[in-house]
Amino acid sequence: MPKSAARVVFATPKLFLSLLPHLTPHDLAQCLRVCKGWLHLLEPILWMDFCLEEPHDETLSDTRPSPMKDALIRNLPYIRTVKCSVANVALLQVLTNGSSTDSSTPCTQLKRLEIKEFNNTLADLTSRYLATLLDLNRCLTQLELPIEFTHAKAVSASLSKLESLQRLTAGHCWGGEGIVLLENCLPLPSLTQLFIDLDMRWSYYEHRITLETVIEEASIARFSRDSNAARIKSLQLPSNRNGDGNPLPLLLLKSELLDLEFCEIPWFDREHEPDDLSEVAREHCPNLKHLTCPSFKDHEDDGNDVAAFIKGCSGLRSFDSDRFSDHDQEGDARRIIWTLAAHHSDTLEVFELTDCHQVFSHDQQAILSRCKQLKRFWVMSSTPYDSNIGITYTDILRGKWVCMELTKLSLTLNRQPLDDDTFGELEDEEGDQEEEGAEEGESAESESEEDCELRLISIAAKSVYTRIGRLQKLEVLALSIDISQDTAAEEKDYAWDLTLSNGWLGEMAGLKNLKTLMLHAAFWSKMGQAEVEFMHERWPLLSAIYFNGNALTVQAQPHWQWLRSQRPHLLYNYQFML
Amino acid sequence: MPVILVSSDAQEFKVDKEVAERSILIKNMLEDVGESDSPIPLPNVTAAVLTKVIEYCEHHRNDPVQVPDETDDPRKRSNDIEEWDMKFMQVDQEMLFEIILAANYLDIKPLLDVGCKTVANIIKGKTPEEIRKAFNIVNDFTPEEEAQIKKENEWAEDR
Repeated sequence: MPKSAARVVFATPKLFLSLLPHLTPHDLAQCLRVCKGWLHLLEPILWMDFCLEEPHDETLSDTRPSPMKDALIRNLPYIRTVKCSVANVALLQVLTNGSSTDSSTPCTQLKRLEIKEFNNTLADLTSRYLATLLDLNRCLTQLELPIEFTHAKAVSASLSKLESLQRLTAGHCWGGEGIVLLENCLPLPSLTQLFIDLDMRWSYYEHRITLETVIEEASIARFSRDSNAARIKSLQLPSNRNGDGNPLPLLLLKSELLDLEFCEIPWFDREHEPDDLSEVAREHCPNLKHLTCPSFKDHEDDGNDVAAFIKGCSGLRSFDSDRFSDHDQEGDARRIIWTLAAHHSDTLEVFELTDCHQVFSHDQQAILSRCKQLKRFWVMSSTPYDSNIGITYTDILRGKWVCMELTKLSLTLNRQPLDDDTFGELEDEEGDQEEEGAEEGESAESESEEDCELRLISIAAKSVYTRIGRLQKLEVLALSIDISQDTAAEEKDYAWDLTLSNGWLGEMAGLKNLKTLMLHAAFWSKMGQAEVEFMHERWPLLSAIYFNGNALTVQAQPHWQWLRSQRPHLLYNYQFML
Repeated sequence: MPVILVSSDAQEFKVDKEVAERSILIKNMLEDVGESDSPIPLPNVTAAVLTKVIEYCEHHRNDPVQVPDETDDPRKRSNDIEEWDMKFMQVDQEMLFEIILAANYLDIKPLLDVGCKTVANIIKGKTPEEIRKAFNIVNDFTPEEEAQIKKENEWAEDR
């Protein structure tokens, strides 16, 4: 064959391009420097998603010509996405002007523009360029702007013409300015996702009437042209508190502008009873399937609102939060998570609390033992010493898990002394298993109370790991231990749990689909060659292990090196918290 | 009923219809021709490559049709190659690219995907010089040109 197959593949744009989705911008930037052929083909592709962050944003501000500026101007026709951390006047100028010195065209094919922060210097000029850019790019579908821009008349006028805009994200804004923004964006016919942080706390009475008018007029504008016009499906109105309240969420939820599928539960004003909220959710949000719970600080009342909202929804499929903390007192009527488990057990697929502070053990068990469709259960904290998110063996053993579809599981185990009920049950169970002879009976009698408890805990632990081992579809497993002040157990108590000789790693042999394992230091410190050989043999798909603890220790232990020599693609990662 | 495929070097392969139909090209051909036992010539595929391709199709004969999941970021999935596929792809580089060409010609999307992921994994984390070495590509830039390109695209370096 005259040409190598590789050469043919790299010379066939269709084939070369199908490699690219698997590469990062960094990799792409390396490929550009391989040879002229690659540069020619790949440069426009790299520039399709242009991202300007520190420290590179300085390069443009410089008045002297810079290589990056030249390349930016050359690639303007290809740019589809622009992301920048700070509103950068030089960047906006280039995007709108092309270059003043030659006849290059400005950027007109933008689909997505994200500007995170406002920059006070040259604010007027920046706003003018931004307005021009929006006018040039009516095909924009996603826009994120700091709210300060929307004060500028020019920007808000341009905003109101973005007929293709589907997603708008705006930062924190106060009453009046927020209303202007809503006035401009709510009528946009394609807008289906709205994320604004509208703060009405000082202007409740002043603006209520205006808000009602704005919403009403927007509905007329949207539906007069087309009665089937899109409705807003995704809504996030970050919660403000400590004020008179925010009438917007209820007004919006009740309006026909919305047909929600995704929603971050907003903070409602105080002019309603929780039952009203259930009613609003039931009446106006029949298609709401995905809830995000806002972060909680010290407002215990909010729990009632959230629970009421959850109660009103029907058939929720996901519930997540990135800063969750349950404010109920142990022993009180349980609210949020309990309500979720009670009302949505048939449909819930995702339960993810990525950084939480307090989640009760019995509530976690309620989700695991009721939700048959559950695919992801994730409860994790970035501040483990200060959090209370453990699930106790006692609770786990209270009821069977029904979530056999789980693919992702993160648990913080708590082996507290078992309470009397579980104690009794376990003793019965053990009695069934070991009716073997008088000898053992005698030795059991003579064992101290402490030994007896340890023995029972270890039986409980075996059941817990067996149960995890039955989740055959599991792909990601994160195990941590409860080290909060309330618990009596220490790290060393768990150290042998995941060994073969003195623990229950063997109970998890059935996890054939396991790809990622994340372990608290307590779990891997006693592992050795036997354990890594077990992993290698039993878990064929294992491709990443996250070690919480000292990276040097892992690197120094020969068995971990052995595992890697067997699986060159296995990724070890050390930087994460459990 | 088995189908007979003929490679570019005139070797005949007898395979089950359902295996052969993993290739959309062959599937369409069979539909056009109707019931017929005449051999199907594949002038772009050598016997060595066709053997590999058939091995792949045999193993995946019962796979459901691929549904692309749009919500997934493809960049996050790039290492996701099934174990069997990964072993299957442990071939010399010439064969790897031959398989990609054949998968493209025969229109076997999942095989093309696995091939592309494998090549992408070779590229990942490498410097331009290492990439050139890996694929035997001649550097036609002067050092100045290369430095210039690096500066132009510096914004992408740490992403």
